[in-house]
Order: sequence, then C-alpha cells, then structure tokens
Amino acid sequence: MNKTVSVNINGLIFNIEEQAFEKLNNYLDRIRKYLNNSEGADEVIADIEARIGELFLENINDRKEVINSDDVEKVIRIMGRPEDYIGEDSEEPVETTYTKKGRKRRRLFRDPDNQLIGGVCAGLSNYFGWDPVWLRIILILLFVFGGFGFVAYIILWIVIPKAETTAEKIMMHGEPVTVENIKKVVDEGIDALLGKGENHSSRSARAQNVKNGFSRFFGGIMSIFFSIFRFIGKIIGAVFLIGAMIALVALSIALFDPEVFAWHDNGLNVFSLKDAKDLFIGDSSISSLMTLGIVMLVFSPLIALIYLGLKLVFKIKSNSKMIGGSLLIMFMTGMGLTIYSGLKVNSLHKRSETIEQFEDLEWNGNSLKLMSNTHTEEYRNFRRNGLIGLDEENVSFGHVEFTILKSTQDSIVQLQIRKSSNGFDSRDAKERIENITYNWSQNNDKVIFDSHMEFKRSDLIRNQEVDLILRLPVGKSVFLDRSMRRIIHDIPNNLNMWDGDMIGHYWIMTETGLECMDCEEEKDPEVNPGEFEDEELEIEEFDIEESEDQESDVEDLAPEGINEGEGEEGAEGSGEKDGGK
Amino acid sequence: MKLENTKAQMRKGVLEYCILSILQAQEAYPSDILQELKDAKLIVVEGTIYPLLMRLKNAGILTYRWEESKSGPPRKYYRLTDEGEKFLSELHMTWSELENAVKKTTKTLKR
Repeated sequence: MNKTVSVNINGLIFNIEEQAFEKLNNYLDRIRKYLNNSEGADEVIADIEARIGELFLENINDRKEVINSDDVEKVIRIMGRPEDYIGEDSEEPVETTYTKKGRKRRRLFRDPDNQLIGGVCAGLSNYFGWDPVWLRIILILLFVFGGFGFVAYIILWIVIPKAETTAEKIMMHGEPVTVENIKKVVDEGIDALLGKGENHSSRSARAQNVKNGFSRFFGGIMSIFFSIFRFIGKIIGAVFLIGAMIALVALSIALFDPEVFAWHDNGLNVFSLKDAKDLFIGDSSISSLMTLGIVMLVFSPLIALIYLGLKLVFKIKSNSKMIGGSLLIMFMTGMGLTIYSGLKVNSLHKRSETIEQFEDLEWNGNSLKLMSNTHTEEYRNFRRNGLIGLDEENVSFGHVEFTILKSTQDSIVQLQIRKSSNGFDSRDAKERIENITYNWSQNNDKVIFDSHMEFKRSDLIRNQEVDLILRLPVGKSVFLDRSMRRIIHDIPNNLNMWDGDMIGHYWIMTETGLECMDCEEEKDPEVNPGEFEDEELEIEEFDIEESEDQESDVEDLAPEGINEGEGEEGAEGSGEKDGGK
Repeated sequence: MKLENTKAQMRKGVLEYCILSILQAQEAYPSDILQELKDAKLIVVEGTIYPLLMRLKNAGILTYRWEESKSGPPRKYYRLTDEGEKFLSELHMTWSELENAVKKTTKTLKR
C-alpha cells in the first residue's frame, strides 16, 4: 500500500505515489539548478513539465490511474538527466580552458574562502581576475585619504551576496557548474578545480592566518553594525509613515473642509481657503481643476512615502513597480493639471492697465504730516486680516504703496495717485480700476491715507494696486508718521535708509534727494539733549501703541485716539522745529 | 577522449539545422518535433530540445504562439521568424559544403 498525492502538471491533475513524487521533484530541482538563472529558465522548466505531463498521460488508462516510481523513472530516461544534455547544448564550450580567463562568465560574490574582513576584495578580484592584494592596498589608500574607501567597502559588503553554496563558489570563479566540478570542489577544495598549484595554496594559507584574527574582529563589528543599520531603517520607515500620514490628514482637512484652516483674527474666522480660491481664481471650473491637480501633486509623494515606510517597517514585498508607476502617473497628471490651470489663471491676468490722477497739496506751516489710518471705523465690519478684509459684498485690499520723489515742477507739491489692475483684456482691467475706491484726506498740514482700497467682491483679486507718489519740490519737508509704516515702500533717500527706519523723522527734499532733518541729532543726543528729548519720548509712546496694534493684529485700536494723538504730537513736533530754526 | 562525448558533439551541431528544417516545413509543437527527431535517431533524450528551443527563441530565430488543444492544456506552436529563414538558408549552404567535404575526405575510409 502506498500513499498518493495529487499534483497539477501544466493544468492536468495526476495521482502520483509519494515516493515517485519525491523522485520527480528531485529531478525537476536538478534541472532548475543546472539551468541556473539562464535566460528563460522558468519557461524551459515549464515546457519540460508540460512534456512530462504528456508522457504521464500516455502511461495511465482506466485500469492504471496512479503514477508510480517506475513511470517516473521511465520518463526521466526519456527526458534524460540534466547533466546529459544541458551542458551539451549551451552556448559556452563544455570544457573551458583555464588560460582564457577573460572569456569565462563569472558571477560576483563575496569570497568567504579568502576573506580578510568581508570577502569583498577577494570577491572582486575573483570577478576581474586580479590579485586581491592590490585591491586591498588601493582600498586602504582610499580609506586613509578621505574615508571614501570605508563607505565604498560597507556598501559593497551590503550589496554583494556571499558565495554560500559550492555551486556559487564555482560560478564565482567562472567555471561551469557540473556534477563533476561540484564533486571535485567538495572533495578537494576550490583550488583543485582552478588548477592552481602551490603558489595559490600558500597564499591562501597565509590569508587564512591573517583572516582568523581580522575577520573575527571585523565580523563581530559588522554584525553589530548590520543590526543597528536594520534598526535605523525601521525608525526611518516609521518616521516616513507617521509623518506622511499626519501630512495627508492635515492636507485633506485643509483642502476639503474650507472652514478649518483659515487665517484667524481675534478668534474670528476671517479668511478661508475657499475664500482664497473664490477671490484669486474666481472661475469655479479652473479652481476645481487646480485643486485636483494640487491634490494629486501633493498626495502622490505622500502616498509613496507611506508605502516606503510600510516597506521599511514591515518588510512587505509587493509589486513596487506597479505602485511606483501609478504614483508617478498620478504625480505627472497632477503637475499637468496644476500647470494647465495655472496658465489659465495667468491668462485672466494677461493685461495690466494703469490710470493716474494728480492732486495739488497746499498747506500752512512747515512740514506736511503724512499719516495713515489703518484702523478707521469703517473697516471694522470686515472679516479681515492685515492685507485682505472681506464682507459679503466688498473686499478691502491692502495693496497700497507710498513713495516720495523729487518734483519736476517748482514749488507745487503734488500727490500722484496711480491705480492699476490686471484683466484678461484692456477693458476688463480698466473696469476693475474704475471700481477701485481709494480714500485719502487732507486737513491743512495733515494728510491721512487709507491703508486699504476697496472694491466689489465680484471684481475678484486681480493684482489691484494703488501707488501714491508724493512729488516734493526742493526745500519742502514732510514728517513720516509711524502709522505710515504699512504703506511706505522704497522711498529713495540720501542716507539709504530702510523704510522702517525712516518713519518718525522729518525729511526735506534737496537737489540731491531726500535728506533727514533729525536723524543725526537723535543718534547723538548729547549734542542737543534738551531740545529733542520730548520728541524721543513721543516716538516711544508711538512705539507702545504700535506694538499693541501688532499684538491685536491690526484691528482694534480706536482710530480717534490715534488721530488725536498723532495730531498733537505732530503739532508739537513742528512747533519744536520752528523753535529750532 | 570519450566516445559518447564526441558522438554527442557531432549530433549537436546538426540538431539545430534539423529542428529549423522541420519548422520551416510547418509550424510544430515540441512533441511533434521530438517525434521526428527520435524517428530519425537524432536525439537520445528528450530534455535536450527544450533549452535549445529557448535559446533559438531568445536569439530571435524562432517564435511561438499558444494554441488550444483538444486533448489537454494549450500548446506552444513554434515557427521560424524572417531572421530564422535567413539563418536556415545560411546553415543549408554550410551543410552542403560540409557534406561534400566530408564525402571527399572520408572516401578512402576503411569500413
């Protein structure tokens, strides 16, 4: 009585005795070993299996249903032993002559028989047919000069597999893997196969002696290094995984829930991503395309990171080519969509137009006090941050820039107000300009500029801009109030001062440009301490108010307070100036 | 020098030529080819042919298609490619030359 197993050979089911199955399995394994990764080896095995299936089919009938050992032996006799035919028809000559080293097809392994540390040098010299000593000398030199050798060695150690089996050792030397060769190597050692005499053996023995000390020491270090390396890999994987997941969740929320991520001001939800898309893009189809593009563009690398993290942590083996490929396609598509919608948006900005007007400014007194009302009452209804404010219908937009230039006309001070906007064509842009409301006011020697313009929400944000240019003739002077900080922009001056440093000072126009009237005195208070002490104090008061203003982020200072305060101080300042002269 | 080895070498050179000739006549699947070769006593063991077919296929000389079979699983039907045809005609010329040469030089052979 014999136990049978049922096997599937090329789609046909056979009942086969267990012993016979073992025999058949051994046979196929042996063929596989002989083919040894040659091109199409799997296919050859499959073909041979198919043929075996056919032969079995001829051997069974209604009376005999089970394949037994005899049948298998018969089939093996028909098919032939692998050593009978595989070497016979391979491209390589059956007997390789030892003199033609260069033509032998070797495979790269680390050589455990001649290793000093990891067998990398020995393996490489086997592969290239060099003496390992020279390679070792080169490596040590590379190690001494810059440490590159060490890194290279470690990498090679990790990358190159060790020759473990006798067959691998034979392949390493480029000899054909045959039963005779394996037998020879197992019985007499690899040197017998290579036909090397005393010379090699003695070198090998020498290496053996050095090896014992070296390789035990370095082997220990390396095994520690490898486990640390693996551990670090897992940590990196975990970081990838967790980081990418957090980013993914956060981005999803930001993109799909418009109310969560928004600019906040005093706890008030002022400005959401949805508002931003509505205002900056306007066209809903383009904005959806852009959202989709950005989602694909940003999410695909995140998914890749998560995948990589999973692989590193859990050592998952999967079809990374397919996943990588589809992620790449997703990334490229996302990039394409983003670029396309970006170009579309750009076309809405294609045309830029500018409209200018000039206003004459006259006043009694010395210097013109320039200030800005960032905080007037009318803006309080807006949900806003510093730059942009919103309500249902209107937008307040802080793209206002102020500068001072020398007047080309004598004695007349002029304010040049230049409004500009983009649009898809000239008319579109000009309509937007018409819709811009910009307010400023003059009360004798005080000029107050709004820090924001206003326009209809339906106009969308199309780079609307208000440029204020004060045309100052030679000899006229101005005081830049601290409140001007938000709107002044690159005012040319002879001291080459930054805008932030120019505020709080008096400036006079000379033939060569703007000159500071009180900066030097301030830097050196001992020259004239009494006279300017008050002013310094006043400036510090401003500092306090301004910093409060910054903390509450723009909104809530009583405008009257500021205006009054500035008015007084301005008056005092000019009074002192008068006295000073 | 083993006799078997020399015999095998001699057969091996001719084997490719014969397989290609069989396939030039008509498409065939390996068992058909084997039958013809065995009838002609060109091969002893069947296993020989599979790596050889694979090598010829990888070299672009042969190609195959799958065909359903009534009596079992699908079969591979091999045929010559255009390159294979050229290859075969070269082999054919070489074989004719060889045949003449061998006949001439073995004329005086004692049997």
